[in-house]
Amino acid sequence: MDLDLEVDPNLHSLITSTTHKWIFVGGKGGVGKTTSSSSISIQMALNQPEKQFLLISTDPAHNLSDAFGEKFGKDARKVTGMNNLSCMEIDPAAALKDMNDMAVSQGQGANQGGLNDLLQGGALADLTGSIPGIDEALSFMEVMKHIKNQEQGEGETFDTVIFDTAPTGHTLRFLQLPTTLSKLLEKFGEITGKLGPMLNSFMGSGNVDISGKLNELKANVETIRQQFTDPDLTTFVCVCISEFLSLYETERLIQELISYDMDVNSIIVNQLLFADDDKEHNCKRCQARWKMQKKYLDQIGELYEDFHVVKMPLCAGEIRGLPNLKKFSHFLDKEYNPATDGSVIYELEDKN
Amino acid sequence: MSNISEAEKRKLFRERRQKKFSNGGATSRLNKITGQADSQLNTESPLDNPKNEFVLPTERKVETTSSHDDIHNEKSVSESENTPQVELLKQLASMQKEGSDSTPDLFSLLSSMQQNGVPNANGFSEIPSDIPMAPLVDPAMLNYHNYLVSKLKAWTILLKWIVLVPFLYLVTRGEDFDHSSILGPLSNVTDSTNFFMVFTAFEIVATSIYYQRLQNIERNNKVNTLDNNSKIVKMVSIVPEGILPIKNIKGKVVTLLQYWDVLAMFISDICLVLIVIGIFQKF
Repeated sequence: MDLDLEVDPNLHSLITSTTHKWIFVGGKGGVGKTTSSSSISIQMALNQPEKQFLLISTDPAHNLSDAFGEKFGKDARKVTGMNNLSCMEIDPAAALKDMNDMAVSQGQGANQGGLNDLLQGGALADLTGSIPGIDEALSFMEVMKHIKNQEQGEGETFDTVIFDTAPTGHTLRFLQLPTTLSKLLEKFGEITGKLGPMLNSFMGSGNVDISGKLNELKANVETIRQQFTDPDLTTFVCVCISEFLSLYETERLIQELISYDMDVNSIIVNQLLFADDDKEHNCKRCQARWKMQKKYLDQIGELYEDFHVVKMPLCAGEIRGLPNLKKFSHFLDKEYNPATDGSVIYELEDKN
Repeated sequence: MSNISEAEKRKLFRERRQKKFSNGGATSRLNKITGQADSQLNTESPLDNPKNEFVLPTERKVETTSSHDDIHNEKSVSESENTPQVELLKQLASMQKEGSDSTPDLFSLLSSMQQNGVPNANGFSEIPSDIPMAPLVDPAMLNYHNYLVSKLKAWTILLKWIVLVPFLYLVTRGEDFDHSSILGPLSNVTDSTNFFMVFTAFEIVATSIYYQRLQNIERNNKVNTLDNNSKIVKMVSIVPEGILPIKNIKGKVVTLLQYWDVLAMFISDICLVLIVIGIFQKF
């Protein structure tokens, strides 16, 4: 069956999607991931007011607070002016400090002496905070927490979680975690099956049920793995700019994601000049860069004809604050037309 | 066309995309991108190249020594297959291999631990005492290389003594010959007062030629003789960098051993020369 189907050059189908639970937004550093993820979240929240959305930044160098112009922390907090969109920034240092403090409070009761003194100084946080990969692990814990909350109906629940991810390498490691952990726990299961009695005797009588904990963890991880590989529940939006290195990294990212069985069908191409249609501000440098951008846009068009390729303009000002993000994000739902929408890029409110 | 639901549409596009990335399509896409920009970036696709199966050092060892000890091999393979801990580590390491080019993490740490042995219950790595460390070069190649090096050494010693024995004879019995004969022009060389100078010069030339030939063999075979044969170098390789207050300790030890090799050859030659001179003087 060879149907002549055209893919929309916008994210309307994603924005109005009622099935997606997890949306990842990622790409090379500095291409506008935070702006894109914020825009998707805003558009989803505006289009589906009856649903709750959460935007999580898993990038160790958080930008969400700056993008919205208000401070977000490790706990989900509603965006001022939107009652169905919350944001949070996963902070490994803060999360580890909490874990350290918890260990200290438990240790005080148990009179652990030297160890307790060591933990008082935040040694656990310092030690674990320096482990590479801890950001991804904490992001993953956050996902597990949300799934658990949804299953048990505890705490705040969200219909869709959008991830503003770290540059490509970190993100791929994060997305590999469910599969990695799944395999790892399977092997652990085999070991604990054989060494179970010995481990239990080490842990003391009846204090910790290791096998039970592992099985619970395994089930959670398996759920996440299944959800992440279900195209109706999870998708990845690639963000790039129209330049060689960005295009190359996007292609590699897409191929990696396909190898993880993850759905990826949308690419946002940011910072386009559309110099041909902007007669008023059409300097020599803009023309040269636009020529280069067009070359890569042609290539993107050829390579990704079955993807939603959304072409976003380079704005005159910074896209910061909810009003600016709302204006900008509109072009994700209905594609930017340089002939008619050109004025919008000069209309952004100056935050400074 | 309008009858197709959004979900069906998505499915159709997904199938189309997957088709384009399969059967070598992924690599050709990367080639297309890099080709247009005349870039040297890697175009190997994770989709076209199945992930490398990680092989434990112990298993690698088993494979390489197969011609020597088949019974031992079967035992080692079956042991590693039946041990869940080994399987776990294999899994961990393969996961790390699948990973990208980012900073090393726990997986790489575990993987690197395996380079030196399998961690035991206490978390410390153990080098199996009954099995030697995994050789870095093919054992057959190493054997061939050692054969060539031994052959070179034997030829060097033989040629040296083909020259040295007559020379020593002339030095000790020079007065028995008529200096106007064919040996006349060599009288300066065979003069006993010049002996040490001539002998040292000869040793330097002979040793230099030997080392040049040795380096040629090492380059051709891509085998470093000391790295692969010297127990001292192997032991020094185990010492982690930074534990001792000397930087690049392995490199320094290799240089020292090379000098020692030269010195040993020179000392053994002197000893033999003294013996031969003694013999010539006596008879």
